[in-house]
Amino acid sequence: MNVIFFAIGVLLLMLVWHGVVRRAILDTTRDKLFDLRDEIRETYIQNGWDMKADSYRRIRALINAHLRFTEEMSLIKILVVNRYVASDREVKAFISERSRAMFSDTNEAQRAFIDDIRRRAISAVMNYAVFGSFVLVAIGVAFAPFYIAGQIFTLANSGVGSILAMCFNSIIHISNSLSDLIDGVGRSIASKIIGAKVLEGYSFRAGQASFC
Amino acid sequence: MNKNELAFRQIIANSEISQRKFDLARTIAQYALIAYCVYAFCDMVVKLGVQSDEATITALSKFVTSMSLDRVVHSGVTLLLGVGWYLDRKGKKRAISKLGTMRKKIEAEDPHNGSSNLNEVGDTPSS
Repeated sequence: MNVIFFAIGVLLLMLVWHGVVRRAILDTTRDKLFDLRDEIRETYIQNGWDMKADSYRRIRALINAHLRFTEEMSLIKILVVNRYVASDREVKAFISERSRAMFSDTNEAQRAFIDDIRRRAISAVMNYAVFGSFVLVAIGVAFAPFYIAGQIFTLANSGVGSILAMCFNSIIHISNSLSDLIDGVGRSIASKIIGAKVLEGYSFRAGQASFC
Repeated sequence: MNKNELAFRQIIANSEISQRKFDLARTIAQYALIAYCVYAFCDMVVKLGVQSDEATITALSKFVTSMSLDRVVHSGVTLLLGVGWYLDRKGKKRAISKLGTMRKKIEAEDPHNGSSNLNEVGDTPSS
């Protein structure tokens, strides 16, 4: 009898994972990306930057591609892409070069802003890459205590006061702390699986392809 | 198209194929699990209905003991959480839809106002 309940439990777990948790994670990722897209528009208007410029069109297209691609992303696809790209130096160099050249025609202030937006966008996508996979979530939960220990260890040189202050702040701002913890763990795991530039190039192409 | 671009797109296509293979294996495993649950349930019903009194009582007692009170409470809590989540999600989707309409109005005059092509509630279109 217990075996039947266990089997039903496993099926329900799959249902909850795909129908509830994964959807919520996807929505959170897309919220972040929509916020970034709004931030780009607001910053261009506030600074009087030309909204007809190609840089605006491209950064918006990049965020749109991420928005469209996130749901299709999976651990399997990422591992396959990473394996093939890692074994082909020419393609790897090509992706890096394309990534660097994508916004090379912008001024210094715009470049700094766009780089920051790209970094935050790919960080959100990387987080989804990790937390959209049941296996990686399990690894993430197991890895979280080590990540916290690592954070405390980096503060060790600053003295006990700094560690206590961090703990105190973390408890007071528990919601932000949890969000930072999830982001940090996600980034740490994702960076070991796939490079940011490869993932950005992959997401951009796959996202644009799904418009067709 | 440049040959490296082509190679990268080929890699992306390969990842798609691998995903399809994995999805197929997972679907087979899921259906096998469902088939096992249905079989085990039918087996239990047959024992209850057809076999001797002793077997009926044994099967029934096994079922009753496995339906402990804490399991019933946990199921109730899960069900309530599920209903709460569903209602909350409906509200969120409504807010996303309103926000999307406002966004479209604000960005209507922008020279580049390309869309993510998600549907009005922020989901991937089904087709």
